[in-house]
Amino acid sequence: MSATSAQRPPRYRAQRPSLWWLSNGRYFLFMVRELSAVFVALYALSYLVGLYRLSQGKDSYEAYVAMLHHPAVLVFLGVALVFCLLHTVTWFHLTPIVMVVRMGRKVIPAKLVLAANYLVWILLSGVLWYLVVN
Amino acid sequence: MKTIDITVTRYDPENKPAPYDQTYTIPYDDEMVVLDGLNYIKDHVDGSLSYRWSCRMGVCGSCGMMVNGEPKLTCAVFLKDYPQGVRVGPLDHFPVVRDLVIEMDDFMDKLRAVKPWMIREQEKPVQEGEYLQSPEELQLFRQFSMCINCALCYAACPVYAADKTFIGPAAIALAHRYDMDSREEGQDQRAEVIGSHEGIWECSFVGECSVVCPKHVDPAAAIQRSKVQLTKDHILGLLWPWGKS
Repeated sequence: MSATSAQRPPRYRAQRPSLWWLSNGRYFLFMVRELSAVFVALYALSYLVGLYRLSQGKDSYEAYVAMLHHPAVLVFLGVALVFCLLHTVTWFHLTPIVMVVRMGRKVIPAKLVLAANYLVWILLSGVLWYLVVN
Repeated sequence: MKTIDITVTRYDPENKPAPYDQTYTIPYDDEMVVLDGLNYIKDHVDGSLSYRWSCRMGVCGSCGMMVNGEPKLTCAVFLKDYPQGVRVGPLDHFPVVRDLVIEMDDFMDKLRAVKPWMIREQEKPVQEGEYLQSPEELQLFRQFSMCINCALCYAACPVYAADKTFIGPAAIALAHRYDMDSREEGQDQRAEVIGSHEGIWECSFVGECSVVCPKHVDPAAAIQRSKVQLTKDHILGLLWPWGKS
């Protein structure tokens, strides 16, 4: 038997505190992971600017490279690198949760899926390094 | 005998408009769980304290509460692990009816919305026997069938906290349990619900639902895997529109 809304006492609805994401370490890490996407985007944007300046000729590109050596830019790139690494590693570790890889009737263990991510990362980084050095 | 302070959030809507704390000092031993502490208060100190419980063994899912700020089954956490005292409140993100009792109507509606039952396009006659399933096929959804509807995952979910229209972790995990079942043929019907604006796309993969689950269900995985499946279905539908009747 249910009381009508006119008869029943009011429910209490708590407001979520604005600093809820500081209430435990996992919420905090989630927020940092989300924030890291901003730095990934900014880092990618700086590359796009570099490509654009390259298309404008040698002088334009050299001015861009000189700008990259400005202390403020170096600080930004350092911070962006840390966030990019965090972004990469946290998402790598979420991959086996998202992807269930099956071979026939067997499910590939999560650790192997994770290892494959790192392997491809190292291989692609190696290829890029080779291309840049040569 | 040792004593412990249990601070309980009280809510008495007929007499006080806002919740308030009340601390009880009770004797306890190493075998007592938080629920035993609440039962001691109810039986010996203050009979007006309201809360839900039933099985005392982590099966019924009734005694979920915030214990020192974390969603827990109170039958599964020991008082000895909180020697400095323990704070017990109603589950976060739900309307409070009284003291530690929350209103679960919205949660129940969401469970029902995902059609958590076997859907067949055509039932085969009983004479043809049962629908067979291999152990490997069972393993694909088994963990998602372990949910006891305790709603701890909703209390842990910041997305549900921000938007109560979100279908939420337990309901989507339940949908995934049926979607992954080899005997199931109702995935399209369920996709309309979980693929809606209030469904899987609301989830930002915080993952706390899976951390707090007392039955080791992984709702976060269910949601992300459903995203992958629905995306694949959508792309295949674009590339091969004749595929579906």
